[in-house]
Amino acid sequence: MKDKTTAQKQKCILVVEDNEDMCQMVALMLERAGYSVAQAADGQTALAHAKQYRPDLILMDMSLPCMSGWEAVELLRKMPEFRDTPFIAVTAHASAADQAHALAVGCTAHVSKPFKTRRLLQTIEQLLQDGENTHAS
Amino acid sequence: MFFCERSEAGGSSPPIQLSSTSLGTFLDISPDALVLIDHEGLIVAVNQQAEALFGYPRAHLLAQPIEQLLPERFRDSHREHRTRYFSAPRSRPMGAGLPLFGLRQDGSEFPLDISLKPFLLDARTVAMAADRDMSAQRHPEEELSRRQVTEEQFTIMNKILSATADFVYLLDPHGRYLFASKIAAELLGISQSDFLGKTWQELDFPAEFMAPFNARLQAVMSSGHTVIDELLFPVPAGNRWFEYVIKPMLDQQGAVESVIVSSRDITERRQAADALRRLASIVESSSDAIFSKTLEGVITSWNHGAETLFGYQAEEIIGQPISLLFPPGHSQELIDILTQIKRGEPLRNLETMRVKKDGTCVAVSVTISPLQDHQGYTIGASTIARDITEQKRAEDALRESRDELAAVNAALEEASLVRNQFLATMSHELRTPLASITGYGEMLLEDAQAGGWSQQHQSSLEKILNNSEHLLGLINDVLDLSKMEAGRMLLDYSWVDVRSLLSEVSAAIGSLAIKRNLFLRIEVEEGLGPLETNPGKLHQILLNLVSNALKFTEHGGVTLSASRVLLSDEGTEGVAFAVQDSGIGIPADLHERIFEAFYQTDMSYTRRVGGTGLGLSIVSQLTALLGGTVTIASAPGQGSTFTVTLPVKAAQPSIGLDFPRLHPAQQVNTLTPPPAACEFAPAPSPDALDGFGQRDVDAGPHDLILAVDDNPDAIAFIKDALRDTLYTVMGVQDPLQVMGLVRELHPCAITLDVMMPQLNGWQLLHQLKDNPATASIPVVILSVLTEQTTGYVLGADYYLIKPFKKEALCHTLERLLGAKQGPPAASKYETPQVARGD
Repeated sequence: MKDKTTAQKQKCILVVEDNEDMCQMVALMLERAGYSVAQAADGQTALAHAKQYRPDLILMDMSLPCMSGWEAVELLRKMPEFRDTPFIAVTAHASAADQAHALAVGCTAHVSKPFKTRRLLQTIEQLLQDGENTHAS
Repeated sequence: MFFCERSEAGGSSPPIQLSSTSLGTFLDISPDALVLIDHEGLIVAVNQQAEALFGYPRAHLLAQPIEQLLPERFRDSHREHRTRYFSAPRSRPMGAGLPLFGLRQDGSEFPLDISLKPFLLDARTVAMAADRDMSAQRHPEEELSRRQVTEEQFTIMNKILSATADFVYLLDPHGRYLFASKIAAELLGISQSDFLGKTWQELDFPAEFMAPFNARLQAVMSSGHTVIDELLFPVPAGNRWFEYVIKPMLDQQGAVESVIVSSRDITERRQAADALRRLASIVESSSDAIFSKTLEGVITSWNHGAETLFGYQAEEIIGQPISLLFPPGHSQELIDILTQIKRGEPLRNLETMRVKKDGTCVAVSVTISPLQDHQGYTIGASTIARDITEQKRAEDALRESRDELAAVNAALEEASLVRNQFLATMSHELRTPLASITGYGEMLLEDAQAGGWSQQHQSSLEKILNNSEHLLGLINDVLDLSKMEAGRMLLDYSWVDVRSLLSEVSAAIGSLAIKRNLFLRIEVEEGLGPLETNPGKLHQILLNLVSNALKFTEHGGVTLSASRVLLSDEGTEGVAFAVQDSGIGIPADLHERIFEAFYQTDMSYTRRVGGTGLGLSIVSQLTALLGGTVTIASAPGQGSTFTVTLPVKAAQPSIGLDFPRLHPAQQVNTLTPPPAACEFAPAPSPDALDGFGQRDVDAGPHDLILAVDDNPDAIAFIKDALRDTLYTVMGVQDPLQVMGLVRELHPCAITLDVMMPQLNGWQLLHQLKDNPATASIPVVILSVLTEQTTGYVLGADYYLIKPFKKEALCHTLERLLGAKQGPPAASKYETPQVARGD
């Protein structure tokens, strides 16, 4: 279990996943790792919660109902608040082309489900740290 | 009056005293027509016979000029003769040798024979002419032999015949030429006058050629009927063919008094006729229907082929309208055809329908050509028609089978699409709940371990996790197999370092060996070079085999080895990967069956050990996909050795791309796939990359590197790394400026960080590679993330994972930009975890 010092500002992660169980599970996992988590089950809600909670990182399921993950990412990236925000695309055995596409629209990394917890957390950490470094300079 | 004979010498006999009446009576005694004229040509006396001969009563003749009794044309020359005669009168016949005619009162002419004798009458010299009408004479021989063409007739005939090209001759019933036209004479090289009075034999015409003509001539003479025939005759110009007409001229009694022979040279015509005959026989013997018609559509010729095709005999259809052959509803077609023909345009290969005599329709292909006369006017049309029923049938059958095939293809494609859609959906649907299970399971296990739960609780949780992993493995295997079977698994090859690959396999499966207390040995033959293959798939193959081996071995261990081999057929180089275990072994009769999907030798054992049953099936399929073979050597109790043999050089370097490039422009530049910076394969050997070397950098300095990173420290690091090289590094912190700078400066390479504000590295990479102007510039991605695969799909030329060593960057750039500076060092970047399901 990762131990986050309370001195550091707690990072907020927005998890966008339409499967309730999965969403809850990821949220729980992230909370145990010390992050605060916001959840959304579809693209519209994702946009709303993003504006509300201003997450430091967004985990986006690419196969959402109604608005696709890609669209959501594109919309969010257009907004100035989220230009720097790292996005992680979550896919399910998608083809390499789909994965590349996710990156091309602005996701920074991708994981496919089911993912190893450790790996996901590692990636998140890397992304948030890198972002920190950038902002620090 | 005193009448005495006058002699030649000028003397005279004793005169006789006569009265004019007596003179008249005396003259009447003579049977001949007698006319007395004086030196001025005036008639002094005539007798009865003369009256009768000329048809004048005496009174009309006396004191008239003698010329009155002659046709106009003779009068001038007669006066001359008369004058000459009286200057030296003597007895002589006149008219002999000269054509002379007399003129009756009624205007008719008759041939005249005259004898002259001078007399003295009252001391005047008079001439007594005894005139004889030659036409009255019935002496055939003499008469005929003296038949002649008069001088004037001769001239007139010459004038008339100069207008014709025919050769005209006049012959008497004995075959003697009375006349030959000027060109007729020229044709034979004889003068016109030489013809006169001679027969053809006398003219030395060759008998063998003239014989047929002669026969015809005789026939005309005897029958009095006109004859037309042809003759081959040698003229000075050579042997020519002549067509001649022998026309008899009959007298009042109907006997032939002369013949006109008119002939013309028909050599060319005969040649043309021969040619025509030959053509006609070709047409006739052709199996195609050939027929001709006038511009109004009346049929003028019809060959045998047409008889066969349409069923009409030539006799019954010639003269009939062509519309007979057109089925109802085709009348416009006929009009259109004739219109086009009238314009002089042919129609070629028109496919249409015609109707036969029996009423059935037949599919034909017709070619219709306009027929033109020698002046170029279109006078009709000639048609060739071919029955294309069979051809059409074949075409229809072909079309049908093509349509069927297309339908089948469409159905297959749709089935394939449906299947793919299904796979994608199933994939998602199966994995999502599994992700939950795994996720919660892991968390519970963590809590259990940290919270000190009972061993039983912990082991229960472990079992849950293990089984969900197993399930995931199964799902992946099933999906992989489906993909392979559907042919959707496409491979990308690269050069793989064998040793590194084997170490990675060992690292991945090592824990299982430890858990089961077995050894895992890796052996690589000394000096074994790189192998061109798909590292991911090869890894999967070896992992499956080793994992199987470990699972089915109780004691001892597994040896994974790689060695050089020569492939059986062509002696090409290959690498054999052998996985040898000391396990239970497999009986020979099962050696083939074990590669079947889901086949397991011992179900209970497998369940214990946790195999999916698909492993070997996947191994078999993947090996085949990589162009290799897998064999097994095993016996119960003696362990098993599975050997996978692959060629060193792939037969097809790139079957397709599992990592399809998003930017086709880039594919033009790269001859080989990117260097092996994929998950599992470390740096390739130098010679493998030789083809990679020089890039096409047309504009821009050959040493400018653009380093893009929002972090200035990172840029400083890069500059420092390349300090000792010839490269100039320009740092760019704002990703939005990159495209513009790149277009302006044309750097020879770009390094790209991923995590940047506003525009991340992926998006920038995508933009660079999408733009043909910038696509050829090599881009190196520098990132903490292990997204190499996707990086390459987006078009990265190389991928370095941060943190990386300076030398790594140098070497990478050298490789990309072509400088040859010694062999690359060994693996410089982290080996990422083997994460199934990525």
